[in-house]
Amino acid sequence: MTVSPHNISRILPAVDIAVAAFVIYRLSRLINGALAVRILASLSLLLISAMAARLVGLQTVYLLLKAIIASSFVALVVIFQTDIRLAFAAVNRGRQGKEREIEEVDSIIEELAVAAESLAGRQIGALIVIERSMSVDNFIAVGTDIDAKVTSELISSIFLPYSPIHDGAVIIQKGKLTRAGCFLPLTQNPEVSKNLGTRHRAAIGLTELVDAVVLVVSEETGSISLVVGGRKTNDLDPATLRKVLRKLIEPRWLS
Amino acid sequence: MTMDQPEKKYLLVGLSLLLALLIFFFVVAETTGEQRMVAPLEYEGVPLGLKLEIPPPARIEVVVAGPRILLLKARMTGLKLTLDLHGLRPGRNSFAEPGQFSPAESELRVRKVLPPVEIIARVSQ
Repeated sequence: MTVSPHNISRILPAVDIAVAAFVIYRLSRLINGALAVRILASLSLLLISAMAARLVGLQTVYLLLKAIIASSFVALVVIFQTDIRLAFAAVNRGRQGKEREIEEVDSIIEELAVAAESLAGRQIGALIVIERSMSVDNFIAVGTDIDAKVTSELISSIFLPYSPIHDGAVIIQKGKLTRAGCFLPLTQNPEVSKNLGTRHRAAIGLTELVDAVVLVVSEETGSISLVVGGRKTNDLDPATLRKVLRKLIEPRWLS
Repeated sequence: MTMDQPEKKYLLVGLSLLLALLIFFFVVAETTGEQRMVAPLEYEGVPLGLKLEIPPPARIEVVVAGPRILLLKARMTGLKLTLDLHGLRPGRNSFAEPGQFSPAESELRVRKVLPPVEIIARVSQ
């Protein structure tokens, strides 16, 4: 195919759409996945409704939707300014920084897996909250400020029965163990089994509100579970736990 | 909503593509385009004392310009044109001036009339 102005004008719309789709995709990756899906779907619905209103001749509805669409792009930038700033900062840090971040995440996951395995082996209950893109600060009560490096020894010692802060959750924010002995909101979902213990109910309750990942070690069975989005994955062996955590935790949430 | 990472990634890719397509169509729909179409013609404003011996044709061919989305609507639902006959004089009259033809959709404009509309009027008794 020869390159002529006619050919270029035929390809241009496809290039236009592809570039726009790439930009939208990269921007949506800055936001928590489920939320990004909802935002993209809502914007698509708004655009379809606006075009339908224009076709049918509903002038007021069309003008209203057009104004909402135009302002929603600005609103999204304002709402997600922190995520966008973090993403640009991550870009500036470059490849070397990225490799270091991955190493840090791996090291935290390793510490968590070792702690969980050790606690499960001794049937000591544990509740570990790993914050992701949404802050958990508004949903946790009491607790003791710690601000320490995440190590399996520290986590194990916090949950030992004679520790004064063993009866609550440990919070991991931005790659640091920030608090211990925190109380989480219990789930109010009537469909959740009554047989579940308080730790599991708290893990489900918190993850119904925010996108955090919660690791639970059962005191009764010594089994390890992960809770995300109000859903529980039971009986994880240490290898699977490492694998799932690597999938669920992105370096940007721990740096 | 809980999803696996690859599943979530594909969903995001799909939605990004859909949104890009919709934005593209939203923008293109508002750009000005031209369309040649045959439209039914109505007329109004025949001066008092004049009678049409040969009235305008029921349908004429025109080139219409305006937002592409309204041109699409006109293609789907049909375009109605009104010819203003206020300047009609006894004898043969030729209407080729696009401004004399008003589409029912106010944002559309007639660019060209193909061919000019010929009307013969005479003084009524």
